[in-house]
Amino acid sequence: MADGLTISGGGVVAVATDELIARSLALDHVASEAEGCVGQLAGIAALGAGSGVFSSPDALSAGREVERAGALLAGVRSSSAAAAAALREAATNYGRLERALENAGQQLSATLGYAAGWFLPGLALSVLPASVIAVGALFAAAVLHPGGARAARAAMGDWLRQHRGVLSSPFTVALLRSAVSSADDAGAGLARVPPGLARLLGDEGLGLTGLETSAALLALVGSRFGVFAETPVTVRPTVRALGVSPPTGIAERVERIPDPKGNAYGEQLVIERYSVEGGPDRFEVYLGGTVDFSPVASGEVWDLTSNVAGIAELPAGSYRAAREALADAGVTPSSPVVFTGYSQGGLIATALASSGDYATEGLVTVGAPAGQILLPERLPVIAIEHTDDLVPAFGGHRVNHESVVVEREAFAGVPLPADRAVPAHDLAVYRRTAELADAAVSDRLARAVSAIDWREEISRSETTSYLAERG
Amino acid sequence: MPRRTDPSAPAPRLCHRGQHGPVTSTFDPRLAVQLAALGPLRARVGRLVESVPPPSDARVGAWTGAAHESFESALGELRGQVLTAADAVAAAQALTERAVRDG
Repeated sequence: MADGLTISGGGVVAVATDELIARSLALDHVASEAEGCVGQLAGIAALGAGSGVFSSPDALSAGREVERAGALLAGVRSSSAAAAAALREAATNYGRLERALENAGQQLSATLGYAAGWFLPGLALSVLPASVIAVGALFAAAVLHPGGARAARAAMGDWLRQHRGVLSSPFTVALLRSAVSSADDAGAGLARVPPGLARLLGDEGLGLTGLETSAALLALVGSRFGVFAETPVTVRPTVRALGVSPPTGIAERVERIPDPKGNAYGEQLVIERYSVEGGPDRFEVYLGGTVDFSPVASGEVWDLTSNVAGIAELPAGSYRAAREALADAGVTPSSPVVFTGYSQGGLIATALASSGDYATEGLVTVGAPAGQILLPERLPVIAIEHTDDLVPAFGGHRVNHESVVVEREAFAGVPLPADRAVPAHDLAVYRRTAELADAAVSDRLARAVSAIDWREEISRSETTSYLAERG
Repeated sequence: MPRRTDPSAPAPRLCHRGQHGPVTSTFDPRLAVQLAALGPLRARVGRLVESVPPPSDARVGAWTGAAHESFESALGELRGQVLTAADAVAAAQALTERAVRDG
């Protein structure tokens, strides 16, 4: 698996691979050490300065070598400082270029989407999110064939596994992100909304319509046919344990994200409560990924219905369940909370942090389709995404430029596992990326981690797993 | 240090050139200080050689194509400069050592 990280965001324009950052830091170190050596050599040269020259030829030659070394190291100092500055400048220019290309691509895909909707309604369907089409096909299969939903899901799983190479291409992921983001423009074209008004209302203008509008429309229309229909939810604590240690860094948090399929009861949430001397209790909240991919809501709350409602920024079942669990755990509006979520859990964690209802002190998302949910600017956010993972692309283009984004192509130059449709979305693969992120040398990532970590003395700690169910 | 071959003979007095009195050696104590300072400096420059980033074949984000090659070439020059400086320090140390020994 490839271990190269690319780190961007954090309110800084520069986009840098961790290797590039490490090199610029190494060059800074070389410059500083060379300066120290130059100082020492100047001191040594000064020994002979007061008495003119030493008498012996060897001593004279030694003096000349000292001077030569001093001149060479002075050159090393200035060259390495210049190279380190050039690397940082290049990273900044690269970031500017990438952002400009991203904006241009967004404008272009919006225009193409609108044109497709206006002129070629049939083609417009092809630029709608792949999920809409896939889910529509699934729904049709469920309606047309008795008990066909399961078979259709299995068939879709087979198809996805057969085409995992295409699905795991960073190009496909980027294309999907653009297609998802321009779904509202295609819809505006179909509805014959004047182009100027469509642009004004869309992501590229006032942002009144966008991905969430398309997802809301999907949820609204779908619910009339029995898919993506939200239901009431219930939450109950299942397992409680005392004496948990507070997490530090990214990997420890990602490690604690529950895997509902591997738990005794299928718990989707874990909440840790820490009693702190002389302050309010602190909370660390971990939310798992999607469990059920059926478009028809059944008992599982972490399902496709919650995904669609979550992207639509509507009160998804999993969002409501998480709020209930937080209340049950004793989280108040003034309790410091750090949210960590994977996939749908990351989407819900982002929505909770964005709600303003909690004293959120940090957010860590892993493979989450949450790019379009606006977050408070000063909130420390770390978003980990694989460039060969389709799922985060369903969240559209990122709107939070203050978030520190850690990216990695998980399967670059490595054969894809045969048993997974989207292997780069696996939590285990993300755990490896989290470890690499903790070991990275990036300043802005280190600052974000340091802002999320807390070091107060704790007097008591407790962890509770929660199971959410529909109905 | 000057070697004393006859233990009964008076120890040679170390003095600087131009000082009054019998001159038995041209040894300058500042050379000893220089020699003492060059040891740790040589080790420091040796560590500096190791801290210059090694060449990389991988394309590193912003540095691709010609820019990457040019950067690698600049790094190569930098490494060469540090190595030459390390050689100069080593030579200065050896020469100073000989000057002290033969002084």
